[in-house]
Amino acid sequence: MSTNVTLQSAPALASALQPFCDGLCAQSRCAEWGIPHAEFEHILLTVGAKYLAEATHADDAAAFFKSLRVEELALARGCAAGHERAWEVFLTRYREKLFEMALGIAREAATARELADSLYADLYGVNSRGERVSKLASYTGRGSLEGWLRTVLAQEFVNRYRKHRRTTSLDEEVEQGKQFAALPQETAASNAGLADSEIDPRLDQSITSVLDSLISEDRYVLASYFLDGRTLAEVARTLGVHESTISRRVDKLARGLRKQILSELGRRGMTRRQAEECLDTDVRDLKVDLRARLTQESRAGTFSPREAQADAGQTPK
Amino acid sequence: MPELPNIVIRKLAERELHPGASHPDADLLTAFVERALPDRERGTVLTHLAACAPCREIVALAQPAEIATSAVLATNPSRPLFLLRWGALAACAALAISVAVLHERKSGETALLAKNGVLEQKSQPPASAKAIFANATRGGTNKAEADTGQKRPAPVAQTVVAHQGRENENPSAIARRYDAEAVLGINSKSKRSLTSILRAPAAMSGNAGFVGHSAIVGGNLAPHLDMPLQERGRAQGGGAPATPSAPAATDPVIDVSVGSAIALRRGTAHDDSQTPSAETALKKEPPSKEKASGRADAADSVVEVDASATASTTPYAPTDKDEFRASSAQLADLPDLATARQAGTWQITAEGKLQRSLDGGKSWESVAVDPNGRLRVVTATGFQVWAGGNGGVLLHSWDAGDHFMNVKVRQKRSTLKGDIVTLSFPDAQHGRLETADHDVWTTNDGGKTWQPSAAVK
Repeated sequence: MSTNVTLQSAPALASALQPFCDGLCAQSRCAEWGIPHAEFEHILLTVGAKYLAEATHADDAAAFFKSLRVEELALARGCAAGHERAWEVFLTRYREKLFEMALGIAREAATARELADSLYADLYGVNSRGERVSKLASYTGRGSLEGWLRTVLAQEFVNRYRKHRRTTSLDEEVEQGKQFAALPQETAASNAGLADSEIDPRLDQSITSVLDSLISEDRYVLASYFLDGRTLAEVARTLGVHESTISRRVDKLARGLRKQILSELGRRGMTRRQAEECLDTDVRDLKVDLRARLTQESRAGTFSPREAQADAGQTPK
Repeated sequence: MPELPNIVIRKLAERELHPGASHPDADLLTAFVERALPDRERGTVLTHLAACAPCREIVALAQPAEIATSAVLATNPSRPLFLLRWGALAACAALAISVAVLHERKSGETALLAKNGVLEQKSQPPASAKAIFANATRGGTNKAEADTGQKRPAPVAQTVVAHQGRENENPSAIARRYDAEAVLGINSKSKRSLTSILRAPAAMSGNAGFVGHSAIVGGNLAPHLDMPLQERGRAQGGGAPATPSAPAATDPVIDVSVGSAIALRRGTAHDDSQTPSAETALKKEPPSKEKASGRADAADSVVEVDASATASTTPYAPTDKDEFRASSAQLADLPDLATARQAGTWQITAEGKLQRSLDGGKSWESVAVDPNGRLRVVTATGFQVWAGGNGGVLLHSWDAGDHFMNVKVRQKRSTLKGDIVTLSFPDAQHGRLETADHDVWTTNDGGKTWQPSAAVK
């Protein structure tokens, strides 16, 4: 119903699709998978309504529809509808690949098999009510069906990993050395207020303004490299550039960030030396309230046993 | 790689989205991974990814390996294509050179085979080097005959019989073997001698008094090889055990051939397939007293050397330097195959006649030099062939035996008249002979002048 509302609110999409809708339907071979022409056109409009704004120009909409993988979209929707021939083709094409992709993600055969089987169940999509709800119905043809399956596997793997991490038993945590781990994020976040109060506001503002000035791709590179700990090659693969390009980019970004932050600090009234000392302060040190820690310490003990006994009100025998 | 200040990293982490935030669906992430998104949507996804660690992880996991490879090639196309282009060119050049070298080598073998008539033989499965060596040493058990003094056929006939087993070899295998033998101066008997050396290293001694048997001499085609061995032979004394670590290929050897002919051979033989094991065996096998006395035990019944058949008196202990010099000289001074083939292999029959083989000992031809004389020893150094016999007869050929001239060994008041029983030329210029009367003459100018030892004077 909501789809109909969306389609009704986007008559421009239908008019943009109309000139080449027949060609797309023929290209998709939707009839082979038991999808009538009108239904496939409706599917295309649904996809367009999901990703295109109402005021999208007709040319952009046309380019969008032409960029869709209509053949794989029709196959996926045929499978979602339970078409046997579509499932035969799907299994022929992707059964082996699915396990290979799962193995590439999980790096372990048993986990990969479990991951692939789980996805198969989602793709087949029979729930307890007998109503067929297939995950393939959410495929929109923006990318290849194989790539979509890989992404879904990755999502499932990440979700399972995170869920599994939450359900780790205490014994396993002890085995993993969890008792020696750093403070949890909540604790760190609660300490952040204290740390933030110790940070010079000028430094905070300078860093924020400089990070805001970065383009999204640079922030993505910095986050992937410095926060996620990914290698240069992995970041390069994601962005489709050479590893050396990312290496130079990270180098340039790190130098540029430091330079711009120092410049911002200078603009906010810090001398060059103050700015460098402020920037090189380890934030972990800021989280330690030395004054409070020192006041909690008991007074220093004496090394002389006589004095110690005198302090305790005892006399030596 | 420069590091970001910790406070900057912390601020970057603080910008991460909360877990409840909305994420792009699998289709968008797939299109991002496959770079199928338009710039606007790509920027949106990148903005989200820059602040969303789980989505960054999904994108990293969803990367197909082949896309990464094609991306690398697409972004920097000139360098791989450049390398591929020049790599293919280099591979073609290497292939062409290899083909040319192989063709040239094949042509050389064919020419040699044609010259020796080997190509007329039937093609048979190639015999291994071990089999060839075993074939050549098959008659070595005639030591028992030598012990018991049984009557034996003529040595030359036996030699031919010993080589009949090779006729069924593959021509190319024969050619390779002949090339190796010719280059290294090996014939079947010298191989057997090599075995003798291995099994009875102490038997490596000589005696000026041996007479009446044929001598086989492999052409010494690498004169420098024998420089240390010649010194060694000069220093050796009669009956004294040789040092077991002496290199087999560079020692004078008294060899009992198939026909019980005693062959005095200057060991230039370095069979390519046997040398490593030979040297190893020499270094490992300690000299026994029986072998020291010149008699191999029954188990090693390949060689028997009469204790009286020794010429050297002083044991020679080769140094590592000598061995190194021999091996390096061997590598550096190997003559070409054609020269090696023409030099041939020489032997003296039991009747004191000189014979030559141009096919590595397969067949022998008599060389008429002195119908009345009786030769005893022969040695060859490249094209230089020297033969000595009774009455101080010394013959010299400078053209691999096509012509011989009689050399008078004398100096002022003394003239060589004794029977020459030892003759050696480590190189073309330096020679040494010894008579049955223990007179020793040496030359340093290729035989133009000879100097007697002090005892002779």
